[in-house]
Amino acid sequence: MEEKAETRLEALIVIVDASLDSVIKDLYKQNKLPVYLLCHGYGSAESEIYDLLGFGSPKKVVVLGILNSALTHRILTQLSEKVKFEQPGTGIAFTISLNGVSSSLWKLCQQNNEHVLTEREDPAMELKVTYDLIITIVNRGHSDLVMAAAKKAGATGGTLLHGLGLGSKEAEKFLGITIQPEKDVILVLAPQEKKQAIMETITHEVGLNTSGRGICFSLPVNAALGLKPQA
Amino acid sequence: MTKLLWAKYKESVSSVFPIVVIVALLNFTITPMPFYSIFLFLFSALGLTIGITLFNLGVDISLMPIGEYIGSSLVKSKNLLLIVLLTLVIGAIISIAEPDLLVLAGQINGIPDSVIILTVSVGVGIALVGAFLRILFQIPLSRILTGCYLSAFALSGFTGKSFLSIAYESGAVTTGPIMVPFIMALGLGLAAVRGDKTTEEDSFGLISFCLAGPILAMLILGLFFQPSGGSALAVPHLLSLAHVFRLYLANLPEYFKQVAIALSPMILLFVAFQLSVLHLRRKKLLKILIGTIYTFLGLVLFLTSANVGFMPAGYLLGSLLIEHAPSWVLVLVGTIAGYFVVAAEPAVFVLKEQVEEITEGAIPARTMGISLSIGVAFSVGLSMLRIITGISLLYLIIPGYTLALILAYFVPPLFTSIAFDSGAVASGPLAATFLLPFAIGACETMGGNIFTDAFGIVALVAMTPVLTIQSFGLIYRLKTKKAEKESIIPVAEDSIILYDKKEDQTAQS
Repeated sequence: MEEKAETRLEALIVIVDASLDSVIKDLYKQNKLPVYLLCHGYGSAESEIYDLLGFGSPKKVVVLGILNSALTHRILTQLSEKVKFEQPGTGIAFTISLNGVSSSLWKLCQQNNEHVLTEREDPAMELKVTYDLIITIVNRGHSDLVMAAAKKAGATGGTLLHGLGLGSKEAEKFLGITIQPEKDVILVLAPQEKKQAIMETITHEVGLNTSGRGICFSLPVNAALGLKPQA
Repeated sequence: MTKLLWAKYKESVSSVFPIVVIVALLNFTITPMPFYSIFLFLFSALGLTIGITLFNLGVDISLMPIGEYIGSSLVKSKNLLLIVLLTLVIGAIISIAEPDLLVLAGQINGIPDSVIILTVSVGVGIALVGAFLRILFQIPLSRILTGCYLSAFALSGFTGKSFLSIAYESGAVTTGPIMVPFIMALGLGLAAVRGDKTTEEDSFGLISFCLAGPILAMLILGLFFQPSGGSALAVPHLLSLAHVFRLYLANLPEYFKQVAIALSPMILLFVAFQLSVLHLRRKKLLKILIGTIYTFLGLVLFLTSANVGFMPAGYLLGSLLIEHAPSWVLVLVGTIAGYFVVAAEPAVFVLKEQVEEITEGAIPARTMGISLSIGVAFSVGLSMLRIITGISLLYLIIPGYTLALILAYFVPPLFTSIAFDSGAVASGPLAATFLLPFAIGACETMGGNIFTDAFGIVALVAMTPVLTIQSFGLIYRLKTKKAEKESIIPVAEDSIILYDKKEDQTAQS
């Protein structure tokens, strides 16, 4: 049982300012993480006035890495050394446990980490507050409404990603190209006790009955860095 | 907020600073310029940095979103006739509005300005339609560009010698500070609604058409016209500080008007789209409005400074260098100036960021910037050689583009699209207002023919980045091939491992 738990895989998601992407990449390379993906997103604006003046939505990179849970602690510690998460607006990092992986991915992660597995470390960071990741998907252009709703219910920030809807009904062919509806994906990390309020406000204000056609769901988060201590 | 603004300002200062240093160094060593001329130049450099800052800030929240919205709603309309008509109109009105083109037309005597502008805008309009149709019908960019440039080479054989350089120049000049961000955004908007395999490479490549279109159109025009007379450039004689400021201020209203004319078609287009299909909410509109004001002020400052301060400085520098130094110094100075000038082009910022974004960091903005600089340095050096030796532009253009086109069949298509776009981007307003007058100044003092020898510098500036990025593509291709060979996938048979059946650490706390 103990053995099995040790070789468990986790998804580590790091969201930081776009200027820090090489720091993250170097760190992952040093630790020989076999799989990581990078995409660009936008942070939420500090205030409405800033947003209007064009200083809102700072560029962020979202890095998704798959790694062995035994490595998580080490990487998170190294991350907090290299990136000043305690400064507001710098970024966040959190892990989500996976409950199913393809065996090739598992072996890839295993292969590169054998040397680490021997040095047993403390289980993942102790969290005083448990967090949840709330993911909202809305029609393009409604992300600001989602953020406003989330903030009203107590969220401190969020990250916007652009996506395309793949619903077969909506995707259409026009000559040589496929046209797909544009969607916004908003990630919000929030303490568990605020989760329900935030999700309720979002579904109320930009839910399926509104023009935003929003849906949202949440995932449990294991360890998190860079969140302000909740009052 | 101030932190962000400061960061943006620092970025533009660091791009203009090297040019200022070069001019100042030359001023104190080889080519002493009149005190007030150098003062006007420094004052303009300050205006230029503020202009670039505002422009960069504004483009992000106004021109780019407008272009993206229009691009994606065009495709979503799924009406081929409407798409063709609208892209034709968009292409034409944007070139009429392009401030760089006005500058070029003003520098050519012997052909009415309106004829040049009309020819170029028709060229751009048709080219843009071609670019959209290419994407819709999924024809490889490399094939179409090969066709375009081969016909341009063929036409070059029939066009008058003194018209040749101007024709190639016009393509590079037209793709200026308004057209580049707008058309690139149009391409991104088009890409945004798509989910096919070629989406990424198709989001670039529109600009490359807008560069080739005017070249072809002008070459055809050249069958009927001949330019005559010398350049229309004049260096103002400055007598006092007050005079410097007065000159600067006297020119401001002119550029206010020019930029207003340049931006208005886009605003009208946006209003039409907003009323018919977009229906954006008020907050978004307000944001775009504020962005447009930034863009407007930024462009006014930028163009005034470039035209009032940089144009005469470039001209003076060029002619003084020929007078006071051996000709190899001209080549050297040109090369160094070329290296730094491209970094200050406002549209280069836009391109670098978009490239980094769409390649998800595979081509970092910094690497891209350096390779653009090296390419442009090389081409300005070559242009200076051309002024000294008088060799035809065709000897450089034909081998250059031929090589780039051959490479297009070997590198990943994404690189080809970016490469041909970056040529247009690198040849922005600074090339037209500093490098071109620099070449004209040097050429006139040498007693050469400015139409054959000095013109063509912007065309070369537009060509070398194509080559540098294509070679980037070649390296990238070789690298990924090597990496593919090295990575070994451990299992042949792939099964799924499930964790959730076992009780495990999730419930730990």
